Amino acid sequence: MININDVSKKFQTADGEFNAVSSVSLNIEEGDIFGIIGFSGAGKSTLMRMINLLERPDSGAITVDGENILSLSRKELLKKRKTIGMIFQHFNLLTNRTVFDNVALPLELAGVSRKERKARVLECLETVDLLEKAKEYPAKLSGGQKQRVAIARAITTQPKVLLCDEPTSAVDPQTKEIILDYLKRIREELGITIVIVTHEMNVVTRICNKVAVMEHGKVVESFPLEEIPKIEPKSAISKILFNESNSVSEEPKEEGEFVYVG
Amino acid sequence: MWDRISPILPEMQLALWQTFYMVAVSVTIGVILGTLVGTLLYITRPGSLLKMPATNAVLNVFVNIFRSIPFLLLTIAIIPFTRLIVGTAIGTTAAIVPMTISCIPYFARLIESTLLEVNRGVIEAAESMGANRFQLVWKILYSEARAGFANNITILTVSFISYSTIVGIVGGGGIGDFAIRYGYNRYDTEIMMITIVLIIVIVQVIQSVGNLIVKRLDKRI
Repeated sequence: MININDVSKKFQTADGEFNAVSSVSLNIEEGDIFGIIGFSGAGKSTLMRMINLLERPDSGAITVDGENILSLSRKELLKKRKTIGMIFQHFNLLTNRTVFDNVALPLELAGVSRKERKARVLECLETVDLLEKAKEYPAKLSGGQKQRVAIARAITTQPKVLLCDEPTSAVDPQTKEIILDYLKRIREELGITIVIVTHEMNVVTRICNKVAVMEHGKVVESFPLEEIPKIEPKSAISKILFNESNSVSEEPKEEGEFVYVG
Repeated sequence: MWDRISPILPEMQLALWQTFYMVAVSVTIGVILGTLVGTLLYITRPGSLLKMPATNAVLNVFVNIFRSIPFLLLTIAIIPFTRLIVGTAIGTTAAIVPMTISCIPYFARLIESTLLEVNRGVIEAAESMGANRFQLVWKILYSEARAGFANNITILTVSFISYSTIVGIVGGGGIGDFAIRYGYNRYDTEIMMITIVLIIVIVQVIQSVGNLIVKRLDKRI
């Protein structure tokens, strides 16, 4: 479904060049829940943001659903993005739109008629069990509810891929489980391919079927989850991630961020 | 007091109407063109939607130039331009020209700073949905910044009621000119005080209405 081939990306910083992603190749198959794990600054978010070209790689190739996205014109890219949903750590809902209008936004942008929009929005809100909040504004919702609205919004256009950028890093442990369950459910119901960037091993073990471990812009290891018990972690980072009771407590905490120590 | 006011009441009414006329026209045009310039300032910034640093730099210089000329001097300096636009350099309509010219960069700066406060993440979310640049500005930026817009319009209107008191110098009339003619030229302090109180009341009403609209539009809390 998603093929990332030898992509690299450098950023210019005050201290010179920074290799955010260097020569990464990954193959994500249809129906996967693919985890990308690593500490802050490992390049995992940058890598994921290349899948919908929010970040453009300096070199390499990326195919999504058989289409080389780097060769698309701007217009074609905007169309392609409608087939790739995305959710974020801080939800990124529009504060001045109701829950209903937030979920309707992608359809509105795609020029879908009001009547069709309504039917589809209600359907998506039902998927995340938030129909009764349709007329509320996001400020009135809890973090978990906001993320569920964001999930509903991301699936309105019936995308084939859902990108999740630290989707559970700003919510408490109970809420995290609920959000992960919804993600799992929509994958089963919609057959969508999910990519999750996280720094928490328990997110990966809970819902992913494959995982890639990133460090310093490189994928150091990548394997299916069922092999975890058999696997002997090769890299230092994998050892930390797998051995320390599935938690990543060394992660530098961002403000308001909850790090789960299981 | 009333017997002092009643003879000059028609003149006072005319002055109020002139102020209303000058402020309404200059603020309306200023808001429309200022929004355009402010949006351009925002989207051409490095790292913003269009990334046109050269255009941004030129625009910034222009806005700064017009923001730095004191309003009284601007009014006089652009007299030839005013004559070109409205056919005359004196009178209430003529006074609208410098007021509008001053309004545009002022509002542009207000809008730019309001847009800068819009959460980058929300813009990015819309980008991930395949929004084009027009949609990003129209449906995302303006929607998220709408309470700020209302607040900016209130600030602009109050400022330009104040500015309007200066344009008596080009025969613009208005409530400020009225206060100067009676309160200063005729040494009638009482009329001056009455006029000032009237202006205070008008500004209070505008600010209250503005605050009410901002509260209605703002769903952040």
